[in-house]
Amino acid sequence: MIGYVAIVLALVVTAMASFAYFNTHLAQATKLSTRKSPPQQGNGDLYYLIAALIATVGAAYLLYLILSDNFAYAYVFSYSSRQMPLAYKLSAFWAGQEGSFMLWLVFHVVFGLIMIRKNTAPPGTMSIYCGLQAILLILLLVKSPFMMLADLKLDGVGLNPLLQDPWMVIHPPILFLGYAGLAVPFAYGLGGLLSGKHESWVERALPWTLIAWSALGAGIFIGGFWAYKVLGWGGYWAWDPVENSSLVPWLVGGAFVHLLLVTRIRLAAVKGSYVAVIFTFILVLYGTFLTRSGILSDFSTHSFADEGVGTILAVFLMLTIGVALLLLIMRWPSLPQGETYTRVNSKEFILAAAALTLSLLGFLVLVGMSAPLLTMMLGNPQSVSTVFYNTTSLPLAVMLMLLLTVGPVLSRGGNEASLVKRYWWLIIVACVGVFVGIGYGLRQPMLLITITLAFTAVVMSIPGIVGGKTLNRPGAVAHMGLGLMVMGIVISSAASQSITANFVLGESQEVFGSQITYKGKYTLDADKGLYQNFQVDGLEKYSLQPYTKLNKEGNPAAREPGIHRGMAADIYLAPIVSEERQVAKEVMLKKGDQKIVEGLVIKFVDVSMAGQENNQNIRIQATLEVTKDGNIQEIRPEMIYRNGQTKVAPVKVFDTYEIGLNAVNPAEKAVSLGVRNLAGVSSLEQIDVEITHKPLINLVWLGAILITIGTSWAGIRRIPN
Amino acid sequence: MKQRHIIGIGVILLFAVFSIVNFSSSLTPYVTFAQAKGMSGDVQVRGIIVPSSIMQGDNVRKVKFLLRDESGEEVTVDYTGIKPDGLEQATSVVAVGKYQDGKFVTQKLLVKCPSKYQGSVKQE
Repeated sequence: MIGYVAIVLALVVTAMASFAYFNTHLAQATKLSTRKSPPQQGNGDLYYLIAALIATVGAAYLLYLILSDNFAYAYVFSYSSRQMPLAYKLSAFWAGQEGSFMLWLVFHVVFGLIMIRKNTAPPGTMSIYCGLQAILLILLLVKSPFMMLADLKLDGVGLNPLLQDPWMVIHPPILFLGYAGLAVPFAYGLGGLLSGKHESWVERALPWTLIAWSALGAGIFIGGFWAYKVLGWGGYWAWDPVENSSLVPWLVGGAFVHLLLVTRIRLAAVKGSYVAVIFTFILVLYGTFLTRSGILSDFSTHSFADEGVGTILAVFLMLTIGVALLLLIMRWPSLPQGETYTRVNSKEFILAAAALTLSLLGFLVLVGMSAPLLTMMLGNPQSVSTVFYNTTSLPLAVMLMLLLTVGPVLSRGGNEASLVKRYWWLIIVACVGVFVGIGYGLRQPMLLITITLAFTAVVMSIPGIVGGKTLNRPGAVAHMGLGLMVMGIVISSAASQSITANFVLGESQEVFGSQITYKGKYTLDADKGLYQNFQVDGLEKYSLQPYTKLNKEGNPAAREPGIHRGMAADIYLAPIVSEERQVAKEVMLKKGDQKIVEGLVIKFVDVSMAGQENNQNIRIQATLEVTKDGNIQEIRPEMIYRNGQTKVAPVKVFDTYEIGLNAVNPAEKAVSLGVRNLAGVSSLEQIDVEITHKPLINLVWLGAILITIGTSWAGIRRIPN
Repeated sequence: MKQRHIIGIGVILLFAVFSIVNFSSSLTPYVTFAQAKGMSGDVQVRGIIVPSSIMQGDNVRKVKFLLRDESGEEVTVDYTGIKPDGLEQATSVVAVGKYQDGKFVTQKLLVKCPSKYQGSVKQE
C-alpha cells in the first residue's frame, strides 16, 4: 500500500511542480518583455523537494520489501529468493521492468535535486524536467512493482541464474545513470528554446552531458565485457537490438557533445545542438520502447517479453517527440544565423565533421535495429544480418579515425613550414601502422586502412596528453581510447584463429604452440557449478576452466568459457557440449553396410514401408543387426508419417543405447540413423571444445577504460564551482 | 551554394546509396520452407523441432534436425556451429540460412526456451 500511494502522491506533486515552474517561466517571459524588475521565484522548488521526498520513500520501500523477503509482492517473488546473497538481492531491485523504471526514477530525482541546489536551471527547464519525471511515475503506476500476489508464497523464484553475476550489480545502474542523466541536457535544451536564451544553457548543459554520456558509454562497455564471458551472447558485441538501443543514443550523444563544443566557438551551431540534444534523448526513449514493448522478442536474445507496457511507452515517445519538435520548429526562424565554420582546416570544421560522422553512424544502427519495425509496416517483419552493421560502419570508423589524425595536426597551429614537417611525421607513423596491420595478417585493403588510421590517431593523441592545454587533455585521453578500441576490434576479430578439438581425460594436445591437457571436472560452491579443468603448458603455465552454472534443479543455466587474458592475446576455450553427450550421432548406411559407432557394430539389413504414399499415412521400418561384445540383437526402429507430420520412434538396445530412424532415401536404399549413448561419456570422459586465439582483444577494454576516464574527466573539469 | 557544400552533400549521398544497398541485401525475411525454396538470399524460418530428430553429424560442429515450419512442412536443417544451449527443450527455433538441395543450410539458430527469461508470475 505504502509504495503505490507514494507513487500516486509523487505524481500529483510532480505535476504541481511542473505547473508552478511553468507559471514562473511565463511570468519571467512577460516581465522580461516589459523590462521590469527581476521576477520572483515560484513554488516550484518546494513542490519538487516534496515530490522527490515521496518518490524516495517509494523506492526505499521497494528496497525494504526485497531485503526483508516479502514474497507477498509479485515483483519480489519473481526476482528474489531467501537464499540469494545480499548483492544479488540488491540487483533484484533492477532485474525486472518495474524495478528498473524505479531505479531510473531514483537517478532522475537525484539529478533534479542537484539542479535545484545548484540553482542553475531556469524555470522553463525545470518544468520540462518535471514533465519527464511525471512520465516515469505514470510508467511506474502502469507497471507497478507493488502488485500483491493473491496467495501466500514462502520463497521467491529468485534471480535468473544467468543474471546472478557480479556484473549484474553494476551494469544496469551505470547504464541507467546515463539514461537518466541525458534527461538533464534535454530539459536544458527545451528550456533554451522556451526562453529564447540560446547561449546560456550550452555552458550549463556541457558538464551534465559529458558525465551522462560517459556513464552511458561505461554501461555499454561493461555490458560488452560481461557478454564476452558468457557463452551464447555472441561475444562482446553481437549487434543485438538491445545492445544497439543503448549504442544509438551514445553515438548521437557523442555528436551532441561535439556540437556543444562548436556552439561555444560559434553560436550559429546552436541549431545543431538543439537538434542533437532532442534526438539523443528521444533515442533513449525509443530504445526503451523497442526493447521493453516485446516487439523485438523474436529478434533479440536479451529483449523483454511483451508485458503490456508497449502502448503507453509509444504514447509517451510520440508525446515527447511532438512537444520537442514543435517547439524547435516554432523557434527555428528566430535561432542565431550564420556560418558554423569558415575554413575547412579549422577546429570548428573538424568538430562538426566528427558530429556528422557520429550521427550518421547512429542513424545506420538505428535503421538496422528498427528493421523489424520498418518492415512490419510493409507486412512481413524482417531483421538485418550483422553483415549490414559491419560493412556500413567500417567507412564511418575510417572517417572518424581520419578526423582524429588530422584534428591534432591542425589544432596545434604554427606556420606553414611546421605544418609540412608534421605531415612528414604523420606519413612515417602511418607506415608503421601499415606494418602493424600486415604483421597481424591483415590483407583486406579496407581493414588495413582502418588499422593504419587508428594507429595514427592513437599516436597523434599523445602530444595532447603529454603537452597541450590542460583543458584539452581529457579529450585527448578519450580520443586515444577510441583509436585503441578500433585497433583492438579490427585485429581481434580479423586475426582471430579458432580450432575445435576433442579431448580425452589426461590426454595432451598441442594447440597454438602450447600443450593443453584435460584434467577432468569438479564442482564447487556446494554443487552450484561445474568446472572443467584444462592445464596449459607453454611459455606460460596456467589453467583454463570453463564453468557451467547449475540452477536449483541441477540443470545447466549459464555457461562461461575458460579465458586466459594475456597481454598479446586471449585464449578463449568454450566447451561445445557442456554436459553428457545427449545428442544422437548420425550414421548413414546403405543396405547391407555396417559401421562401428560408440562401440556398437550396426548392420543395416532391410527397410520396409507400409501404407500408401498418397494417403499420407506411412510407416517405415528399418531392420538392423546390432552387435556388442559378441552379442547380437535385432531391432526395428520406425519412422511414422501421419498427416504430413513425422514421428521418430527410437528403440533401446543393450540397455544403454538408443537407435532411431531419422531419414530414408528410397532410391538409394539408404537410411540415416541417430545413435545415442544414454550412459553418456562417463565411461570415456571426453570433451569437445572450441579454442580461440584472440590477439589484442585487451585493446578493446583499454580503449573503453580510456574513453570513460577521458569523458568523465572532461565533464568533472567543466562543473562550475 | 558553395563548392564544399556540394562536395559534402555528394559524399553523404554516396554513402546513403551504399547503406541502402547494404540494408536491402542484408534483410532476412521470415518465410516458410515453401517460400524459401525459391529464394536466393538468406531467409529465416521459424518452427518447432520434430521430437528426437536432433542428431550430431560427422563432426562436433554439425547438427541436424527436422524443423516443422508454421505451415506444417518439415525440412532437415543442416546447422554448422556450436549447438546452442537448450536446443532440445526449445519451444521455437528460428533458423537463418538458405534452402539448398532439399535441406535448409544454416550457421545461425535463434533458440527460444521456456525457461530462459523468467518473466511474470503468469508463466508459473
